[in-house]
Amino acid sequence: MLDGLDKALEISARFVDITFQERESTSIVTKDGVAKDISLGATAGFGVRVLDRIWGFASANNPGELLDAVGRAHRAAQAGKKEIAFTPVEGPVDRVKTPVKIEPLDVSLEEKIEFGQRAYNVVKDREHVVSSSFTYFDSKIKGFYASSEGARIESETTKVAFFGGVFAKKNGALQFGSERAGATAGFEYLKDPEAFGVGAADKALRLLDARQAPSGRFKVVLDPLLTGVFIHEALGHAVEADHIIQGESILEGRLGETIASEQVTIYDDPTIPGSFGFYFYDDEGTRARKTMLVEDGVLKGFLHSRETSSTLGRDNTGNARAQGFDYLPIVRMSNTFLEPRGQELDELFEGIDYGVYLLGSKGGEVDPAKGVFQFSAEEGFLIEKGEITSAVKDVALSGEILKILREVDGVGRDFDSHIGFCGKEGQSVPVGDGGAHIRTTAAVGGAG
Amino acid sequence: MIEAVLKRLSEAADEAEIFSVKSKSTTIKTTRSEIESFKEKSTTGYGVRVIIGSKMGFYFTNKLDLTAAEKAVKIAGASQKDEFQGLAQQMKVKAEENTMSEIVMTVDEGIEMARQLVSPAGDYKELHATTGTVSWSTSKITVANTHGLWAEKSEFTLAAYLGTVATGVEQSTGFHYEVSREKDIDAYEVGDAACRLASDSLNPGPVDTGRTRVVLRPMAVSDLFENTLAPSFSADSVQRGRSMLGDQVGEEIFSKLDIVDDATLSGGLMTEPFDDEGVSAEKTRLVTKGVLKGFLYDTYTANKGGTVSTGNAGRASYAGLPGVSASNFIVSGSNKIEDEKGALIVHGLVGAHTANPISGDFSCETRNAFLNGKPVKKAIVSGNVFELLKSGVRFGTDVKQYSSIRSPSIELPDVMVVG
Repeated sequence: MLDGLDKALEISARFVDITFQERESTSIVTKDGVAKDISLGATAGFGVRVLDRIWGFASANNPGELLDAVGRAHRAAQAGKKEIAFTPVEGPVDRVKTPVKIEPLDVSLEEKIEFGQRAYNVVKDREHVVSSSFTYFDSKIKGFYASSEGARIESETTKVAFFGGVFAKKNGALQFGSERAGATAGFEYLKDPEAFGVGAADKALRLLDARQAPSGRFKVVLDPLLTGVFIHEALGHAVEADHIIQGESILEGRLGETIASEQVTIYDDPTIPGSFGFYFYDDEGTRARKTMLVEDGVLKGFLHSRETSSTLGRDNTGNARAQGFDYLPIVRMSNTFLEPRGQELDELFEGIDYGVYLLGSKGGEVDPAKGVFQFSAEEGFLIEKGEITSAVKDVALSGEILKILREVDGVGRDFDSHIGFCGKEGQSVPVGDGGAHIRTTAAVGGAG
Repeated sequence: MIEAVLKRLSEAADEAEIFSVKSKSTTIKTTRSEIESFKEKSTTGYGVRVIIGSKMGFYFTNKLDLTAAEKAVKIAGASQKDEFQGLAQQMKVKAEENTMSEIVMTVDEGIEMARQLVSPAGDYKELHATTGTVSWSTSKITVANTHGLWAEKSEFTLAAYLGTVATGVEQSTGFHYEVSREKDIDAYEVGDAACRLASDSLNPGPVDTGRTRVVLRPMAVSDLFENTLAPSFSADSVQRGRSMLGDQVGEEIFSKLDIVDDATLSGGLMTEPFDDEGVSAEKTRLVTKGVLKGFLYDTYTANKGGTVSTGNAGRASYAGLPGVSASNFIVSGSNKIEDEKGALIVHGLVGAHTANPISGDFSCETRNAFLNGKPVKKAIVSGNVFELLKSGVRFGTDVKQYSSIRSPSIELPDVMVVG
């Protein structure tokens, strides 16, 4: 596949791997009904990683530069001296492909454009709606991974996604609602664009009438989508083993300890077919697998790359991921889910004298060393005497990892998940977050 | 090749443009004060934009050839009509002013900077460095179009970052970073600032819930304004009814403060001779003494608004279409902060990207907050940026720029704080 590959892998270093990728993508943005920003592209390149005294890395777009890049990476690997643990493995040989029913590249641009048009058609005449954007996206990455340990993995990964945003204005107030969905799958995954339009518009209109949320410490009920971002921020980052090794996770040294209520079970699983965080092999050739992080409240494991698992003497969980061929893989989540339990939604509201029911995720951020995190809901409702009352907006929650997980005192029986892009050290990778409705106690910051 | 492709496109399209980037970037990463990796990345990329009968097509690639041009033309064929599509006309600045001097940085200089960066950590007790990076890049950008526009520039960027953890009864954290367009970052100072923040944040106490005076340090100002304030000054937001400021030009919207977007500012992080469509850099007054003066435009929004571009077209990379983006977004005011005693001092905000970019409402956990010199364990600050800037805003003298926002510390008199 690459000229000089064998020669590149034979240099005298502890370890060498090469990732080659060809990527084709389509993005269509329908702004206020006009599909005017259509962007297609084809890019290619490779990255070489050499482990010697330290990690050396070089990437370029032109495959003809492979041997030159190997030389640069090899020299770069002499730029320091650190004892990097890296246990040898036998490199796998495999060929994998995302199951795709309808290849996005075979679908005409006109058909993809129609998707945004249909979403626009259901929002354009809604009262108070002032603007909308709908974005269709697909990508296909053909990858080839090879290592000095004999790994040769050919892969083909297809993703599709659709994003919608609707803006509404009333009495000087301006709000927006958004919807998103995506999968590691073909064009067949995207259905019913009208539902995106309706969903985003309904949210924007509800927010127009919502009051500012109260501030203080309250009982909160989170919907499954918000539970997803909650566990991603409150637990997921703190179990990334690079944080543990760097002494920047509050969960260091707590394996086997009870860190959450016994209703809490959380796992990371890149093997779920179709999921946004799906992969067959991680970006250093390790087979993907499900990893139990918290089981019945007990901290069970961390997420690892080859380096972190070698350093800590643990099994590698296959969570080394890179944004693309031009990045070094680091420890990342894939799909991080909280397991449903038995409670109905009204049981979760029961007994709450005054609290907040929060839905949808606007994302979050965590300081894993301090153990404090923040995440924001798209919308919310007050809970008064066990009943849902008025709508509230712009609600952020914050909490301490070791406290808030213990205070989970109800987990619903339903399940839903969301797609997202998680940022860490300047790299963004597709992930899935999800779970059930849960009840806990958190600091709520409303803008009111 | 750019000339050949443009020549072909001048026959096939009404207008065409090529945006080209050749860049080399180097990143040295340290973990726990040791160099962990050394990374070199070279990128060559092109974005081809064509307009045919008011329909736009865009194709990006690493290899510019006539096939790429044909693809862009084909995409334009499928696209939908928008009468305001258009490309920049001839540049106003002379060609010789377009090229900035090229700054070269060697590997040894980078390694020395990385050593300087982590060295202060050894001087603090119960403290260690986590991730550190020293990175630099050189890019050559060319924008050329069928109107005869040809603009070239070289850009150098240097950055140093360090994260730290101090361990007392509990752990506290800090980080600091500096970015510059010159080779003038004192890496030791960056490292020391990160160490000081974590060290000063040890043994934190609680803070009362209630409304109080808050002073945002420049990094916190940047976190907040980047996500809540700046988007409303985009003509695209205004034209699509997405800006709270849309119909308020000439009105007093804020307390006595000034906001200027100035791509010509000497020493600014976003200073450039021309924007990503090749339009000359400009200084645009947005707010003067609290009165709204105008908005930021790229070529498309200028066509739509019947005005001229303010030189504010930005692209995330060669693979992205241009859109309105701020350059050096400079915030200043004459009312000075007198006494920080009793105010909650906030160095940074956690999760500012989750704030509402439309309404200006925010609710964020603070990072490294202090009250009367004592660290605060946990505090959410919340409010509405447009309301908070209406009265009693005061300014420090410690002007710093993070991303596009350039500002001193800002005091806001009445902010909701949840402890």
